[in-house]
Amino acid sequence: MHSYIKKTIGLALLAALAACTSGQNASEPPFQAANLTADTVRLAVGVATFRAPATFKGINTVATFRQPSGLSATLVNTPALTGPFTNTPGTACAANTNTGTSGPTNSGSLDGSTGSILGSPQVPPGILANCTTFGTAGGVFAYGFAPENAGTSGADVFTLYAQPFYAKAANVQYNGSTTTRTYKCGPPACLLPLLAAGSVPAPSGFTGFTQGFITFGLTPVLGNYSLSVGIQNSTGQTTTVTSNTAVMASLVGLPPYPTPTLVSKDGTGGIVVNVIPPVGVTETLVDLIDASTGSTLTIVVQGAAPANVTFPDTFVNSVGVTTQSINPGDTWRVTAIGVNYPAFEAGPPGNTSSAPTTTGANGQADITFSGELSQIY
Amino acid sequence: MYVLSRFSPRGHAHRYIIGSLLAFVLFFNSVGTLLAGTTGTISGTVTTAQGQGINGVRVSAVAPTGRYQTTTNPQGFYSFTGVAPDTYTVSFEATGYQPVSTTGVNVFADQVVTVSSPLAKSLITIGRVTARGQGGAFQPTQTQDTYTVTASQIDTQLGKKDAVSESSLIFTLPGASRDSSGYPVIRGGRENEEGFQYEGIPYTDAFTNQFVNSLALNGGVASLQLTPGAGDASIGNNGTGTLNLISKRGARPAFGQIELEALAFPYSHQFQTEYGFATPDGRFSNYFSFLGNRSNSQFGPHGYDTALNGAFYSRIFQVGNDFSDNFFYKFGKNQNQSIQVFYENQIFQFYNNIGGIDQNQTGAVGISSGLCFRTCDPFAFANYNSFTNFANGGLTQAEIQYMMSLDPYQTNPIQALNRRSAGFQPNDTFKIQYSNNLDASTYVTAKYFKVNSVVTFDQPYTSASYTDDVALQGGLSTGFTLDATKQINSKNLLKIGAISSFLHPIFNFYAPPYGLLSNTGTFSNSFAAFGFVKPGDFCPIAAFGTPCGYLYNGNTGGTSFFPGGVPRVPAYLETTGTNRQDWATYINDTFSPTDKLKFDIGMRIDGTTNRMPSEAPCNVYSAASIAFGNANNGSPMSVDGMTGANQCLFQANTKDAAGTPIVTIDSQARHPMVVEPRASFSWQATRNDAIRGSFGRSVEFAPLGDIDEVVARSAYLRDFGFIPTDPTTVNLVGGVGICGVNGNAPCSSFGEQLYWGNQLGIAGVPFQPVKPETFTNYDASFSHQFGGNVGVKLTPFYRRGYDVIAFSQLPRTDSKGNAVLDVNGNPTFFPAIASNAGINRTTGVEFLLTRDAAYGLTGSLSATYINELSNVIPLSASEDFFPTIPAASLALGNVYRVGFLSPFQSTAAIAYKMHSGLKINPVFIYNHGYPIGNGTLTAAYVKGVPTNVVSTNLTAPGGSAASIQYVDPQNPGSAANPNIAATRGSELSPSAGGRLTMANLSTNLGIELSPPGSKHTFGVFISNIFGNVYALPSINSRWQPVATGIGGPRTGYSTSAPNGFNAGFPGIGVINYPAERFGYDPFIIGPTNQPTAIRFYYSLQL
Repeated sequence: MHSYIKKTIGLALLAALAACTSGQNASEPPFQAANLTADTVRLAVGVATFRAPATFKGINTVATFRQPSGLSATLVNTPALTGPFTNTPGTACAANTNTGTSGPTNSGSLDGSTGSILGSPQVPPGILANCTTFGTAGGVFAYGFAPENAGTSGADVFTLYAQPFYAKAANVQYNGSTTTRTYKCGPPACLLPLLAAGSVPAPSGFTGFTQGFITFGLTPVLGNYSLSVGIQNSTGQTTTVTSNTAVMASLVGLPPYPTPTLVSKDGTGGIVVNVIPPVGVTETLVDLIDASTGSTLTIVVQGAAPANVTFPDTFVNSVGVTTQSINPGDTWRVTAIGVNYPAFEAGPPGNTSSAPTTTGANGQADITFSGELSQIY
Repeated sequence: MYVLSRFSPRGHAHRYIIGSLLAFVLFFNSVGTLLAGTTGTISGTVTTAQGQGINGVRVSAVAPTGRYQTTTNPQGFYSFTGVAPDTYTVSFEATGYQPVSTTGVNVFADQVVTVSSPLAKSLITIGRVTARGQGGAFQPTQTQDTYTVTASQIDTQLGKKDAVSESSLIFTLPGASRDSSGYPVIRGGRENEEGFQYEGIPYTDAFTNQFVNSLALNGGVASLQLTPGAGDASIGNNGTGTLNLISKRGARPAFGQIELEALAFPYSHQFQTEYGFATPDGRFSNYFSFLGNRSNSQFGPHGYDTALNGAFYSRIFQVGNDFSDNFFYKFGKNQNQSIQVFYENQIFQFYNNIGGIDQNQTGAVGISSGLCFRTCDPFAFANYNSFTNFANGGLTQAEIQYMMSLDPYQTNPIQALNRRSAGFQPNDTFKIQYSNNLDASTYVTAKYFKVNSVVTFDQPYTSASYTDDVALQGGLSTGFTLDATKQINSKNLLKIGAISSFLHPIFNFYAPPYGLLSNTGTFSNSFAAFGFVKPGDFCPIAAFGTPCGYLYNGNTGGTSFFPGGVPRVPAYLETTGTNRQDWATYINDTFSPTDKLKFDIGMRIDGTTNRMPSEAPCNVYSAASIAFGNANNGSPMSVDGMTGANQCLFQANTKDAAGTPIVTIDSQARHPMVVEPRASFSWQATRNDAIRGSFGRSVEFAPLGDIDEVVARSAYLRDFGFIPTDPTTVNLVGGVGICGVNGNAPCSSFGEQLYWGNQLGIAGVPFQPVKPETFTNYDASFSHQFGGNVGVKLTPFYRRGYDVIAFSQLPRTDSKGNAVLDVNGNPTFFPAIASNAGINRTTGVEFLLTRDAAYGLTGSLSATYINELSNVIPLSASEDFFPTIPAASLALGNVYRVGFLSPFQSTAAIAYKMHSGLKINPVFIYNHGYPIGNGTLTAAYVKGVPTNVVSTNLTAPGGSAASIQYVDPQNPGSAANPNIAATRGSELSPSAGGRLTMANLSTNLGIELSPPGSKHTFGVFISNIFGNVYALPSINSRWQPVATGIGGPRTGYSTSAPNGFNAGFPGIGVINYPAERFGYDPFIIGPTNQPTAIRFYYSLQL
């Protein structure tokens, strides 16, 4: 009987063990979520001076949302920029396109005339998303707003906003009827990373880092501006992180930036241009774009002195191939962007601060754009 | 290549024998697969109390299935060869001595049982009965690592009488493991790297070498024998081990039963009967069994909606019928000869749900009256449209319907399915065997066998693979064997044998959408050949002017390319035509210097001939082709490629002295012959302690599914052969041709272009000869018999594989041997082919504890630890069934721990038997977890150099959907040094599969009452008693990365899913259907196992 009891107890223990462990290898692996409160949102605002066809002063923003490491805090978020400005109703929905969004949107702009410029929380397919300036695709990342919210197929979205938003109201022109463009920092100032690997092709679209600023064709208004970022998770909960207050204390802004002039071209891919920074500019980002290839080169000029800027004959693209900067017969364009804050230093790939300096001496992030120097090479 | 895994399986006579075997070998000039035996041997020595042999002792071995008699020789030695597996009473009688009987002598196939006894002139205590637990762990005279379970043990192992899961039974044995797909593997071999036999017949299909018997027992199995490793010399083409099932035989007294089993939910019922008898003189005997089973499947907990649990395309209903008959006729002096006729006929039909719903539900995607074929399914159409990259946009739904070939069951492109996704798995097996016990110590047997098994996979709506298809897979195997066993003297038992077999594979994979998609650039290595489909695209015949186009002319009139009618795009059709002739011969000597010490020394030779076409045309070049090839692609083109009659179906694998690529096929790939030495020993050191060890080389010939990948060509040439080649189509390195086995030869016509686009884009190179893989196996065992009939056995083992077969790609080189690079500077590759580039090294330990008793506790505890290393990426598709090794990983020499095995598995099958006839029989099944997760590193080429780079959404195979790390979109870093902004949040290892899931212990419980003297048995069997319904976790391919460990609101959804996707599923409405399917977390699990089920059964002994 004693033996029988022992065996019975043994079987019972086995059964208990089975009950306790049953199904456990079918458990999902434990995972730990990032601490979103450790991330930092920063907002700077200033006056954006557009040159062509006539001088127009709009709003410039420099937003950062970073992890302690300096990388983008999240890959999907919903920004909400608020301030004393009045935005333009009914014009924002055009920006609401992105592969991360497949739902149709409600008509009209939710953020028109409300003193806010919003993004829309992402929604499952079949449900209408709100129509906003940034839409469901737009978020704030390590250096500025961008339509780079990740979808379920991943985060390899390297798209930047063409700006300024509300360009029609601003009546800006860069090249004939072209009213908006993207601003990228390319080589040699920003060396492109080698992204190609094996059978995985280089992701399309990464031809340069963002220059960080996002401008709006809205009249700047003195006062406090704020940015809050909503982060939704898969179960519908939202965490909101709010920025410090950015103050628009002056509406003077920077003078218009003179259009660069061509000094020389060597015929083998490179050119030399001359830039003359206006008063107040502490740093100039000079961009060269080959309109045919889309390749962008950037050179940073520090200080306020006029300078000759030499674009090299070649650069190395993101798949590691040495490429001619301007191909013969291609149309090239050069613009100069002057700022009163360390725009180049605050951005990737070099800056790893969680809260980089994005304001100048006047506490604002003022910016001024030159006209475009354009020729056929 | 698309290979589908099955569902769910005397005196001087020896000189005469050797001569006959040699003649047999010579006669066939090709002497497959040598088979595990179906009979065993009893031998021993009868001595006086002083140890002197006694001459002339009458020895008999008697069991219900047979009787054997002989007398001892002057040394007191006797031997019975060719003994049918059963439990015998061996008796010794001699004038002047007290008779002695030894009961409970178990004979297993291919085993030698030693029964020796002293005889006394006065009454003495009978010599110790050597009977031990049937198949017990302590088998001191076994030289091989063999585990045998008998019919009664099978009941205990599975928890009930007449359980039908053969795979569950196999998992209870040491050395066998359940792979992550649920299939049994032996010592970590792949699903088709094991020998699988029933009644001595190779039960593997001729195309994949996978088991053919659906892994279902039909009650007719008398014993199951597992021999991990090489086994003795009589076993061949068995890879990493052998499973051998022995059928029951008719016996006297007759036996039989009828069993009824029913289960209310999930619905199931089963009828099973068997009957065996023998005539009083034993001349005739017969055994038959029948199993009929009808059941449906419930995945997840009771009441759970199948549509929401991820069990898409899983089985919902099964029909099984299995009949077997085993007939013997004995004749001759003392009935020493016999004719055996064995026949089994099985058919299992598996019906699957379609996307989580039955096909007849109304309101489903596409049309109101039921699910539609893909061409009228909006969701499928959206995929097709996005894949058809024409200058004027993707194809419209009407255009797709117009172009795509019909399913074999389709009469128009927009009809409802009216049929389920299903699999039909028939199998009929026949054997006729002649056996002759020339004398008690000499046994010869010859048999003819035939296995006919062709599975039909009918998948009319398979969203996951973008195609509907109908596939036939399997084949016919026939063969003839001759085996002989001769006890030469008291110390030597000789076995010799030969076999010739013929394998005729059948593979017919018919997929209409592939015909369209492969030609439109969906798959790698395929090309946008249908560039002239729409108006404004390439116009292949200038005379037709503009606009022109395939569909334009077909739909809207105008000048047509096809005056006889516009043909549909041919369906993708892959077939096979290579037959295989196997042969083998062996010799094995069991040398027993004493009763306690035994050696098995053997040698076997396995060979085969793959009947492929000649490679000669591949090595013929013209001056024009050399010049053209060198100018365009850096290497010569075969002359056939220039003329458009390219019949070279092999990939060039070497260069001649001038650097010109040529095809050379290793004779070991075309006519392999493998010599396999085998050696083993056993030594019973003490009464209760024994050791054994073995070494053996084993072989696994390449399945014909590896070798033959031919796509039907005629339809392309017939319908499109007159159209000039599209000159805008370029190959991977920018050259002008996409034809030929290397995908860079010029094409003679548009038809030729289409053919090669399909052949290379989906199937691959038509013929891929490859050497057989061989394994060197070592193992050793220590076993001990405790009191209470408890035995234990511990067996460490090591196996190394050579020439292990896996698909891989070779880098392209020019005539000077330099790598051919693409426009980004990365190397280019030839299409993947079967290769011998695999690596396999396996170590492990098997453990078995058994206890056998008529009452009280009985049963076994088995365990297997295994550490298997391979260069196949863990958890990659088809890891253990036709695997592929990525080129960069292969070049780096990366070796991984396999992803399809739990490193430790154990089963405890325990029965407590009471005198009242009540049996309580729990079965505990444990695993230590299975590998999961993609690694943090992945092999890739970076600027042409193979490198282990950090795995991110930019570099991971499968891209973002399979990634576990995500780069910062604004500061991605480089491929080699990415800036990772988010991960899935789990602890990760460098290698894929480097983590294990949590351990699992699941339980079944059987309770059975069979009162003493009663013919009635009542039982209840509770499977999955604790309701473990979840499958292994896997990467959530629809996880939206927000931050580390935080998924976004679109998690669960496909980015490309059209908005109407939800509404397409009736009853689901607008709920988060896909998210329910895919879950919200970085990893997901689906409740895809059967819930707790209670079966009641009744059995009547006839």
